[in-house]
Amino acid sequence: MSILLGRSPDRQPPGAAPAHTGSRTTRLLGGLALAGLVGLGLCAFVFSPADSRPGPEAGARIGQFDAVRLMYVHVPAAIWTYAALGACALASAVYLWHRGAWWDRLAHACAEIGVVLCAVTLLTGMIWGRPVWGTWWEWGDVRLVTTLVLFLAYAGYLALRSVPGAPEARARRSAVLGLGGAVLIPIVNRSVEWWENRTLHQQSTLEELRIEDLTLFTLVLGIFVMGAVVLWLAVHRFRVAWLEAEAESAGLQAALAERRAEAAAAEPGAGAGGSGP
Amino acid sequence: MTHAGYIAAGWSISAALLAGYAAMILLRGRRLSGRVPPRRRRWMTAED
Amino acid sequence: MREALLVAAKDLRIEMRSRVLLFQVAPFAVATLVLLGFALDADRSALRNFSPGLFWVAVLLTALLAAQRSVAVEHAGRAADALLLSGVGPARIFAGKALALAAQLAALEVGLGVAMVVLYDARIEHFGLAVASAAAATVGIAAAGTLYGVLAAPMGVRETLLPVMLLPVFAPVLIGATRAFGDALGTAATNGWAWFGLLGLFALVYAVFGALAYGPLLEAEA
Repeated sequence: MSILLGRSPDRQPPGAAPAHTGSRTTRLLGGLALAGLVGLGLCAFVFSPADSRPGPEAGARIGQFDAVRLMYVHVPAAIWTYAALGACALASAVYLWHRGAWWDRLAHACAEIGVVLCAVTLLTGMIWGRPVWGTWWEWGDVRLVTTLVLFLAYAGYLALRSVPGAPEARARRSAVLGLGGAVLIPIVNRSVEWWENRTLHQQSTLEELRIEDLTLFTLVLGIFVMGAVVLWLAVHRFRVAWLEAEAESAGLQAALAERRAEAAAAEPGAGAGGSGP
Repeated sequence: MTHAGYIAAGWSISAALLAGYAAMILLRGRRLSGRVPPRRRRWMTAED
Repeated sequence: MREALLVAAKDLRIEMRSRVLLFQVAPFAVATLVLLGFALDADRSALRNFSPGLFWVAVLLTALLAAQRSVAVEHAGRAADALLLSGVGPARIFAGKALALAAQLAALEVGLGVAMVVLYDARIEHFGLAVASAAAATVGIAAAGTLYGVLAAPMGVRETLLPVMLLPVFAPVLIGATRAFGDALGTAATNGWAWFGLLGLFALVYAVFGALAYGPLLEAEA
């Protein structure tokens, strides 16, 4: 918890307050993520080989060839999409149990990052599918269709969150909706699986690739690097959510103070006695 | 390299999306920071 | 259970008096069915083949209206507060409202079913399967609609917010009910009863989830 919010104010040395959401933690994470991205780029484009192996016919070679280099974005993005949205559902459940604003903001941050990552997953998947499967979209593929429904469901979640209203009530509604997404996904998955009982998707990309060592290494590196990026985003997004709530209440306080000052100015005699509300 | 166009498109769209989102978060954080009193921003450190 | 029935009866009585269902929602449903017919061809066999899917799309779009209506009734005059004060448990209120919504949807489906047979030249081959799967789908739609309806209820943007939240949830219902009807109408070679099971599972999951989540939501509104 302290990673997200940093040191509490009473333990802080006095000094100029920064007007941004950065801290030592995020700078460390950000540096790690950037270095990782450079390394991932090198591994993905320079060191790792294209996917190609001897086919059944003599002389012919089969595989994804260089399109496999898209996997190093697609697979990590997909894994972290499910992780982020799972975290959102979990935080929503804990919020309904314990009612801490902390959990509400965590759920919001995770959902937004999850939706962005889900868009990345879908787009890279489509761009990969066009040359390898020969189609941008395949309705018969379970994971593809399930991920699209997941994207739509949590886009709806963000839509609900964007509506202004009383923070407490909004938090409860959002928590139910965030949890509802997790309830929905297994059912969607099952129904699409029965709907078209054929799938283009690899049972697992890891098995299908007949992994060369460097390919596997790059994939795992991609997962770790994406993890650092996601964590960096999550910490910043959480702090933005924190600031939003603070700014909302600060704005309300300021407006109240203004109104009181106005009222006091209008009736100079009334305020002094302390009999007013 | 085979599929060069697809690979370039895939990587650049992902990079643009994530970088754009990160920039949006940072800017929103800076804008909101001005409206919240310093002692309510708990992650601040003295070295900044 | 008796209290849930009381809540359901109250909702249905309001609906009978206002006639919104009869004069606004039902014509909307039929108009949707007609427009979907235009969107395809005047081709008889194409319409017959797609009739299960078209029927359920029409039902789901209509369900959006009905769900909105079911919450609007509660929200007008802050009737929800009165309901809470009456001491009826939130799970029972949920059950009652979902029951009322299911009853309205069932009535609409009968009308739409007749329209489907007449307009699309559909033939119901397995009547039992059609009725059972429609019942399971209706309960699921009503449970999800009641729960998500109250999520969107107090917002000024209810009309646009509810579809965005609810339509992804309807995705498995549309798949399941279309397939089950495909078997019942003889347009698809599939095991309709397996799909009935899936619809039943959906209904069960959302009924339980709704009953559990309704309490915190009503409190949030009050």
